[in-house]
Amino acid sequence: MDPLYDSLFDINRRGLLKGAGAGGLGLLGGPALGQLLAADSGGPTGVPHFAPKAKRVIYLFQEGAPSQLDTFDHKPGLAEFYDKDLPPSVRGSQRLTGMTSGQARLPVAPSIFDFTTHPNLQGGLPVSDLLRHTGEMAGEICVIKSMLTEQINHGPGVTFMQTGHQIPGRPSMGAWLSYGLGSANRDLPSFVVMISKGRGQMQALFSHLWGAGFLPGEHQGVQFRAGKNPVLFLNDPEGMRRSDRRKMLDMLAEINGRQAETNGDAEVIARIAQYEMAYRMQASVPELTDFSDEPEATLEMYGPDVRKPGSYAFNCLMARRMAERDVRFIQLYHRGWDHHNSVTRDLPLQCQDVDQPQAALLKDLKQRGLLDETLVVWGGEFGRTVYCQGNLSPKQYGRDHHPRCFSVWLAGGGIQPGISYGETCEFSYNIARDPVTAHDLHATVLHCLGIDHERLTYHSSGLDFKLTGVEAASPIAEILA
Amino acid sequence: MFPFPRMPQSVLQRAAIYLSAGIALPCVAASPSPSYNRDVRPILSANCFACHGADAAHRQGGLRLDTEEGARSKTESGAVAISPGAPGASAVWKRITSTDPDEVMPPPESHKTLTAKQKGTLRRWIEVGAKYEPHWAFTPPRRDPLPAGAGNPVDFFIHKKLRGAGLEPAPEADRAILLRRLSLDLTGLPPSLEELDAFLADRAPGAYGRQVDRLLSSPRFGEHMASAWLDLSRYSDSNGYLHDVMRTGWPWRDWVIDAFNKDMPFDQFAVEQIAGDLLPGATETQVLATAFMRNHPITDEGGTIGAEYLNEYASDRVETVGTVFMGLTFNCCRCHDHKFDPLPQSDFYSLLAYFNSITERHHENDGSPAYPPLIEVASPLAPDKGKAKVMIMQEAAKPKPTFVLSRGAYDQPDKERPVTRRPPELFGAPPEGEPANRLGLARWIVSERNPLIARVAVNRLWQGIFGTGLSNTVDDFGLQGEYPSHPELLDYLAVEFRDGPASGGGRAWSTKHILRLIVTSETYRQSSDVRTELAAADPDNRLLGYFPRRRLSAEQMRDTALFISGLLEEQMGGPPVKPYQPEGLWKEKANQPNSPTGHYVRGKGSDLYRRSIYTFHKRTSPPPLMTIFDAPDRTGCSARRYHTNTPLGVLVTINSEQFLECARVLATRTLKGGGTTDERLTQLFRRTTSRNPSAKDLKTLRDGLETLKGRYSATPDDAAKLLEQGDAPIPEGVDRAELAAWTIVASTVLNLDEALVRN
Repeated sequence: MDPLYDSLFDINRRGLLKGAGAGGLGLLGGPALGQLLAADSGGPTGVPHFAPKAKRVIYLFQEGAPSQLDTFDHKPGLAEFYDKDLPPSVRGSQRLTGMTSGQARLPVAPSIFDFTTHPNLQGGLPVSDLLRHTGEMAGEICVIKSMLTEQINHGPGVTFMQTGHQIPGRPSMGAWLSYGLGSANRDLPSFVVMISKGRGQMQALFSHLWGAGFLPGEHQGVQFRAGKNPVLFLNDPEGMRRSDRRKMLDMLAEINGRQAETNGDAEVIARIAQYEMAYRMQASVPELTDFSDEPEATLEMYGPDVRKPGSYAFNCLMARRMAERDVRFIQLYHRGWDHHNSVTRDLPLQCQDVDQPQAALLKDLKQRGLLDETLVVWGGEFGRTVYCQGNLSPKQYGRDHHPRCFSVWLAGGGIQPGISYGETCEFSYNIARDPVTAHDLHATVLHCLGIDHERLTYHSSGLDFKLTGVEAASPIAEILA
Repeated sequence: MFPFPRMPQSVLQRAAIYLSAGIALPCVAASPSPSYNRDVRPILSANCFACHGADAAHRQGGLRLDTEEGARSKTESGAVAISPGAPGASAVWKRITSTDPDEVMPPPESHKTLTAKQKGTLRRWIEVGAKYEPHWAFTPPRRDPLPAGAGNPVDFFIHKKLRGAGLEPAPEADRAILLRRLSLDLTGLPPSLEELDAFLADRAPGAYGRQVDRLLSSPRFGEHMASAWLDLSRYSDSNGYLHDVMRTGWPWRDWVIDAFNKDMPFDQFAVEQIAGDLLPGATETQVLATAFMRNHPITDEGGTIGAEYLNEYASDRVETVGTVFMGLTFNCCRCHDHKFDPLPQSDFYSLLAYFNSITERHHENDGSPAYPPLIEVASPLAPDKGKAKVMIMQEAAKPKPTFVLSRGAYDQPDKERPVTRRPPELFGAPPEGEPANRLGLARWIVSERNPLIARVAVNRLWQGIFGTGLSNTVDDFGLQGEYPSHPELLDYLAVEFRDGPASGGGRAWSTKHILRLIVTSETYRQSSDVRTELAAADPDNRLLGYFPRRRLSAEQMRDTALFISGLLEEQMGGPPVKPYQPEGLWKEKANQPNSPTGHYVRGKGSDLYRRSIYTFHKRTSPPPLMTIFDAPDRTGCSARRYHTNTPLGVLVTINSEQFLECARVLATRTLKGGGTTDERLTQLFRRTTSRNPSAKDLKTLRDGLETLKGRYSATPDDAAKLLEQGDAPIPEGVDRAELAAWTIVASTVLNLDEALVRN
C-alpha cells in the first residue's frame, strides 16, 4: 500500500461525498480508467443483485464467424448428401447474403475434417481434430450448439454480439460490467481489449465494439496493443527516468494541492490521484506484459507463438495474468475466420492459431484455482452455411455467412462443465432444440457475475437501456452450475 | 394557481387548444402544493407510464395515468384511479401503499419502488385536487416583462431562486481568471499574455464588454462553436461500418464554422441544413448545407441488403432531426408507440416519409468518397483548397409510399397503416400553405408551432457555458426529461432567441446575442471557488451559487497546449489533417489496409499544429487525443459530453508526442524570453494559467528546475533524447541540458489542474 495514495484516496472520497451528488456521475473524479474510486463511481446501487459465481470474464471472440460444421457441430450423416442440393424445406425462407443468393445451386459440403469424441459428462463431445487440444478440455467446457442471431453481415453481427444491438453506439458488454460492478483492482483498467490477427480474410474491427456508448466514458475498454507501448502513451519519453517523472509529479501535486486548498474543489484532489494511478500503471503494465517470471513449462503449454507479442497465444497468457490481477473484463479478438472461399485451406491454419493457446489458458486457470471464478466465453458473430460457396470438390469448399445456427462454448465460474446444450438439424442449418439468442447469452454471462440482466439499466435519451434489449431474454438455466 | 383547461380526449385536440389558441402556461414558482410538472409527473413518468401511459398496445388494466381523463375514469376493475381530494378513495393511493406483493404498485417484477417522500408527494397532490398540467415543454414558451431595473434577465432569475433559498451569489472572479474563462468559452482558446495584459490595464468602464465583443467577433469563435454541432450532426471524415472508407464532407464542416462566425440566424441555419436544396433558387451553399442530413454512417459491405440500410439512414435522419431541433426521442417510437411521450409509432414514419425519398442508392464494395446525390463544391472558408464531392439531399421524382414498419423491421411494412408526411400529431394539423416536403417540415420546425426548438437550442448554449443545461436532459424534453431548474429563465431565453431582444433593436435567432446575455451576467462572472456551505442544500450547484469549474473539452485540451507553446497554426478550413497519432491504430482494425483509411499517414509541417476541429475523424478509429477526453465517435447524434478525469488522459498530457512537443517549444519560448529564472517561471505560469504564481509555487518550480538542470547536465545523452519529441526544430545555440530541464517544468505547468480546467 502506498500511504500517499491512500491519503489521497481518502481525501477524495470524503471530498466527493461532501461535494458531489448524483449529478457528479463520471464528472467528478469518477471511477476513471480502473474505477479507481469504485466506491464513488456513481454506478448503480444494489449490484451485484445476488451472489456471483464468477468475478470476471475472458471473452475469446473469434471474429469473422468460425464454421460450426468443421469445429463443434459434428454431422457425420451429411457425407451421403455430398454435392446434393440443400433441400428447399431445410432452407425455408431464410435470407441469404448477396454473395451466394445468385448461385445457381446450393450444394451440400460435408466437413472433410475428422472428429474425435472426447469424454465429457454426457458420454462424449465430438470435436474436430483441428481443435484437438480444445477437445481434450471437453470435461471443462459447455458447448452451446444452438446459438442464433438475426444478423447476416459482419459489422452488425459482431456489434450485436458485443453490444446487444446491431447499430453501433450502445455500450459493450465489458462497459456494462465495468459500470455495474466497478473495478476490482487499483493499478489496471477494469475492461481490457486485445486483438490478434489470424490467417484468413480479415474483417474490420471497430472501437465502438468496446465503447461505452451512453455510459460515462471511463467504462470504455482500454486496448492493450502489441509491442513496447501496450497502453497508448504509457511510456515516458526516452531520456526521462523514473526519478524525473517522480519529480515532475511531486511538483504537480504540490501546486495542485495548494490550489485545492484555495478553491475547495474535490476534483483537484481526484486529479492528483489520477496522476498517481497513471504513475503506478506505468510500472504495473510492463510487469504484466513481462513473461520472464513464467516457468518454461507454462510457456510451452501455450505453444511457440506465446513469445510473439500480439499473437493469440501471447494474448491468452496475458488474459491469465490479467485474471490474476483482477481485471474485470478481458476481451480478446482473433481475426480471420471469414472463410468464404476455402474453409479447407484456411480453417486448419486458423485453428492452429487458437487451439493450443486456448486449451492452455483453461488448464492454466484451472491449475491456479482461477477457473472457478473466471467465466471464459468462446465464439464468433454467426455461423457458416452447410452449402458450398464457390466451387465444390471432394477436397475444397467455401462457406457463406449463416446466422441461424452456430456454436459457442463457455467454461468456468457459474457454468456446468462437460456438457453441451441445444441441437441443430441434420444439416446444421436450423435449430432443432433449445435456441439461444445473443441476448440469452448476455443474460447468462451477467447472471454468472451476480447480475439480473433486467435490473442493470441506464437511462439515456428517454429510455432505460439494458444490454439485453427489449425482447424477452433469460439466462440459460440448464447450463448454470 | 391558474385555471387549466381540462384535458381533451385526443392529443390532437389537446395540442390544437394549447398551440393554436396560444394559451400559455405560467412557470410554476416554488409552492407548498406539489406542482404536476415539477413534482408529480417525474414520479409518475419514471414509475407508472411504461404500463399506464401513451402506448395503447402495452397498456395494463385499461388504466392510463398520463391524462386527467384516464386517471378519473373507471378502470377495467371498476375502480377510480385518482379521486381528487380523496386519497382514500383513489385506487392509486391504495395500490402504492399496499403491502400485498400481488397488489402493490409498481409491481415487484418492475424493479421499481416509490420512496416514502414520493408517496407523500402523490398523496398531497391528490389531496389538493390532483390537477394535471400540460407537459411544460409542449406549451409555448413565454417571456414576461421583467420589473423595471431588473438588469440582466439571467441574474434576475438566478438570483431570485438563490435568494429564495436564503443564499447570496459569489463575488466576482479575479479579472485574469475571468478573461481566461471568457476566452475559452467563446473561442476555445485562452488569452495570450498580450491580451491578458491589455485587459488588466484597461480600467475604463466597459472593459469587460469590449472583451466580449472582441471574442465574439473572432474567427476562432466559429471554430469553437462548431465542435458541439459536429457532435450533434455525427460529422466524420469516413463512412463508418465495415470498410469505413474516406468521405469528403469537409466543405460542410467549413460551412458550419462560417455560419457561426456570421451569426447566421438559427432558423435559417436549421432550414438550410434540413432543406436548403428545396429553397427557391437554392444557391450552391444552401445545397451544401443539407450535408447535415447525410452525415450518418453508410455501409458498402458486400452482401448487405439495400432496403435495410436505406431505411436505417432515413431513420437516423428522423432521430437526429428529432433530437437536434425538438429534443424528442424518436428512437423510442420506431418499433412501437412511445412509452412516455404522446408520440405514436406512426409519428416516426410520418417524419421518415420526408426523408426516405431522395435520389440515393445502396452501394456494395464501392469505396467511393461520396455517394449521389452530391455536389462538387469548394469550402466557403478555404475556396483556394479545391473542390470536394459532398453528399447532399435531392428529392426523388416521386415520394416513396411509406408505411409503419411492424416492430421497426425494414422488411415488414404494415400495408394497413400507410403514412403521409406530417409533423408529430401532438403539435396539431400539418402546416397549411406549406409544401408537403422537407422544406415544409423545416419551416414548421422553426415556426412558433414547434414550442421546443428555441428551448432546446438555448438549453444547449447554456450547457456549453455552465456545463449542465437548465434542463440537464439536453436530448430529452419529453415527459422523462428533467423539469428545468429555472423554467422561467429557460423560457425567457427561448423567446429572446426566437423573437429577438426584449429591448428591441436586435435581431431574432442570434446565437451571439444569447451568449452575450449569458457571459455579461453577474452569474457568469462569479468566482468558481467551491462554496462548501452550499453543498448540503445544492450538491450539484444547480442554483449556481458559484461558477462551475470544468475540465476543458478534448479539442480545447490540445488546442490550448498548441496555443500556449506558440505552435498553433491558425489557418481556417480545408481538407482534414493528420497530426501525431501512435502508429498502427488504423491498420490493426482495418480490413483494407491499403485504402486511404487503412493506415494512417501522418501529416507534416503546419498539418501537425492545426486546431483539432480539422483533425481527420475516422469513425471506427477516432483520434485518441479526442476520444480519451470524451469526444464521441460520431456514429450517431450526440448532444452531451462527459468530462472524465482518468489515468488514460493523464498519459496523453504527460507522454504524447503532441503534448511533449508543446512542452519543449514552450520551454524554448520561455528561455528565449529572457529575464531571471523567477521572471521566466512567472511568464510560463501566466501564459498557461493566466494567473501569477504564488511565492510557494515559484519555489516549487525553481527547486525542481535546479534539480533537473543538475541531473541533465550530468547526463547529456538523456537531455538530447528527451528533446527528440516532434518535428519542430530546436534553435541553434540552446543549452540542451537546460532546455531538457525547462521542458519538464513546462510539461508540469501544462499539466496543472488550472491548465486543464476552466476556472
